[in-house]
Amino acid sequence: MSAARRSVVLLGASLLAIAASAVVASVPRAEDEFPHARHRGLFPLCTGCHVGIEEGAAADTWYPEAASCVTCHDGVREDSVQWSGPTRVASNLSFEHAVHAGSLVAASDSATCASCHRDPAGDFRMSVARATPESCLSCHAHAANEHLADGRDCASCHVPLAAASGLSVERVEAIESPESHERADFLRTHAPAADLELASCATCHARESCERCHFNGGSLSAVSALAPDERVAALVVGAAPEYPRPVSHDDPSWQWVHGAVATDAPATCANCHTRPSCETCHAGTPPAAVAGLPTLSAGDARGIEVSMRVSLVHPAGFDTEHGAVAATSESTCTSCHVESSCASCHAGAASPGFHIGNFLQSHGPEAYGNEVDCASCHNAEVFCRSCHSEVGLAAIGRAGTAFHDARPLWLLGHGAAARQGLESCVTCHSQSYCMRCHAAVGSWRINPHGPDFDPVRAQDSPNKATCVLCHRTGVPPR
Amino acid sequence: MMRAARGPAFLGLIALVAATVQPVMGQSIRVTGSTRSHFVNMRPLMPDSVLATETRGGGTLRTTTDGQVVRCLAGDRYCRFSRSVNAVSTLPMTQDLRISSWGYGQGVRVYAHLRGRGVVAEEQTIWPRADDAFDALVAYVELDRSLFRVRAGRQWKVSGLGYHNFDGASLLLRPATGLSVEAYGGWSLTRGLNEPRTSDALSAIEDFAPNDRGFILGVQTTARAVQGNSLSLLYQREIRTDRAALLSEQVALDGVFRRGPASFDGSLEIDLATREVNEARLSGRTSVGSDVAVGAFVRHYRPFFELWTIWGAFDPVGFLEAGTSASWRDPERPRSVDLQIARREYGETHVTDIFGPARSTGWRVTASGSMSPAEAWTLQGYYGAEIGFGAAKSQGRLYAQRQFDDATWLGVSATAFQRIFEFRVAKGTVYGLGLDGGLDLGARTALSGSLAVYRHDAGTETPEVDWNQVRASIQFDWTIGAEPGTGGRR
Repeated sequence: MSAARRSVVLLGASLLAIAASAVVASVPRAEDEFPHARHRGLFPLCTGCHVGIEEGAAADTWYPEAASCVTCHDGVREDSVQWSGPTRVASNLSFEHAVHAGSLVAASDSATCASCHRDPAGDFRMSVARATPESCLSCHAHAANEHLADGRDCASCHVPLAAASGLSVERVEAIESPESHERADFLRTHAPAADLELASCATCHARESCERCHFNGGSLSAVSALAPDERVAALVVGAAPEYPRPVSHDDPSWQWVHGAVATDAPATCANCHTRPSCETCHAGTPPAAVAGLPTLSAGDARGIEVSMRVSLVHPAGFDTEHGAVAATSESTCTSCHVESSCASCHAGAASPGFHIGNFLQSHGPEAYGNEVDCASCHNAEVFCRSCHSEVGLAAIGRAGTAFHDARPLWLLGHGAAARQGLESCVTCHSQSYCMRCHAAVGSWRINPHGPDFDPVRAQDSPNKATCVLCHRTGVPPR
Repeated sequence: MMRAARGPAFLGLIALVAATVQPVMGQSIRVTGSTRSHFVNMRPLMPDSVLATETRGGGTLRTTTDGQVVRCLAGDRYCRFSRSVNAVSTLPMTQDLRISSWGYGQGVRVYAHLRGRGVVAEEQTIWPRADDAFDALVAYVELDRSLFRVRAGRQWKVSGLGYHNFDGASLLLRPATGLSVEAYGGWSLTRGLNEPRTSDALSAIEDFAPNDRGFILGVQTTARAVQGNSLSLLYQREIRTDRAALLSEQVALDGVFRRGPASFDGSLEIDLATREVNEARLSGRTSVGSDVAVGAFVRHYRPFFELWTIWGAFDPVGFLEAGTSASWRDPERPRSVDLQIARREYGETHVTDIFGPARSTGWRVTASGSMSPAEAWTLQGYYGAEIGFGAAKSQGRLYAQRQFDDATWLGVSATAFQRIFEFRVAKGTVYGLGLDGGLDLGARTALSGSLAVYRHDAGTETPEVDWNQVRASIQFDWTIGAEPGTGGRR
């Protein structure tokens, strides 16, 4: 390379380095900005003042000493000045003037300082301005023309946020969000992107950014690869997590199929759900997928807060119509219900709450209609009859008292009612009470058997002792 | 008068011992308790009479001068009726303890559900079973492994025949995923009573109660496919321990089938001893969109009586019932509406009633809804009408609940129901106002209670029947001991 050519390259690199220094500095120049316009006829080269910038000199040497100004600003020819140059403000850019200068030299690029620092509105030789991101994009390939458009090469120009330690909390908070993050499905789809382009995510995010929602961050490679950052931690404290509802969860049968999905891929569930969130419903023996989720300490993010809406899990009326499900799906029931859940209703009248308020006074129609199997919880003889006896409803004295007072001569016309509601009769009347009239011996011998009664089958019955109660001497002959 | 609540005190002692005994060799124990007491106040009925000459009208049904309906039989100087006597009150207490202990080896668990009862009131017998100081509802040792489960002791059996317990052993085999076979046997207990059939509780009110215990033997096979489809077949037989008689012999077939948003379930109960179908039920339900569900069911029901009673010989008839339902659920917010209507028709009784047939059909309609008008507020409404054989009523309820925080809630309710008897003249409307609330006293203790006052508007027809009532309850739930699988903390 000839000396002349070397000089041109060095000059170009120097100019480029000087221009790019403004990008790195991001300097507010209201007070310290050098009035390039007033000096435009004096300095032929940028590197005349910005000495060493293209060689990687420290940022505090990029600007000339105030003593250099004394040559002209001696108080005689020109007024004295006190100028110290702008203070470099920290940024998250990874730009290095020296690196660019070296690269450009190697590539024999013709870029100069002005390539990045020329003020497009200026009309004089030294009209300079800060470099913009678009300046970088003019050379660096990008998926779009705008700085925050979709793309995955943030790391080309930026260092990870955690490495940009000079940024204040306020500046971190002020980082603009890319357009992609505003899309409705971004939260549902960002995971693959995070894996592929973790470096881009790291430009604006630290581990705490993810752990605001991903309480399982420690088990996610993309999250654990991010460095922690106190500034981000301060920003997310108290911020509510956001959990998108997966499309799969909109399936009406999701409640029935989610167990298999959770078993196959529990880690997927763990992105949003903690063990407590599952235990909202799965209060019984936890399925393996639930047991595998972390149990959290106080202060941890809890994931999706599942509010137990039984109405969404069980259809209306399930409390009285769950017999078939309970009989066939014990393992499913025990995923949510402990054994005592059943006993709280079925083990007798110890747990008020199953029936609507004041059911005691109003349960007659339900009992007659056998809407639910009363015997599933109550013993008709001991529970119902003893209570009815205590409150004066059960028949304990002479027949023909006035309880069934709506039908005249009830005793003579109760046959149809008895056949239709025999279970209700039993709640007040004992066998011996009815046998006063219906026994074959020692009574009015009124035959209680209907046309469907099969005496042959009764004779073959292995329980002939019951026949003896009325027939005394045994089963009557065929 | 106060009576010492020996049952609750005894169980309290058990809880204290369980809480203070230090587990050894890695064993753990957890005790969950529910202490409940409810105040019941009511006016019982008693038979009364009035001279026939002091009644108005003629025929069998007449009224007294103050409007009381009385029944007068020809030839009887007195007309008879039932009237309410002085109010009585009782305060039954129940103490439940559920004790679970583990750490004796993989899959080994000891579980017990004990119940103590007592009465602190002037009237001790008004509440059923309140004088039964102690019950062991469940007490068994279990070994549960992936291929089988063995239980020995007093245990519940949940099946298509219902929910009852017995003293014995059960073996559940899981030979393949979704397939299980269970065999069980032992001494049977009376369903809904948790006592042997020879219990004094039964013999005290039934002259012909069994004088011997019963053996129970059952086998159940359950197959469960993906997505909740399942089928269960059960055979169960009960005999007297002296083998002198059969107490029951039944088969139950239950199935659940789900396909996408639709689900169907069916139940069949057959009494093999009488060759009667006691229950045959088929229901279906499907979602229409994300927020509406519709369903329908058809059901045949005929009461089942154990063979030690004479009731089966009375040829009870069953009914056929069909109904439909519709539900709306807001998938985003807690708002819902449910409607249901059903009609049933009884079988032919083959009885000629000289005073006209009894009603052989019945209707019921229910509508309910809930919503949350503001954060922490819940409103619920219910209306139901039942016009059926034997009795009828119309009932409504409004309920509002305010959740103050995760641990505290308060609710207020207003109810009204009108009873319209078919077999009794007594009519009336009862209005009620209630208050209930709950308070979580930490992660493992909770207190709840309710108070309701009911006032009876009898009109002029039955002034002596008084359904005025005060009900109150208080419940304290607590847990002590370890949590399995969480290292002792939640």
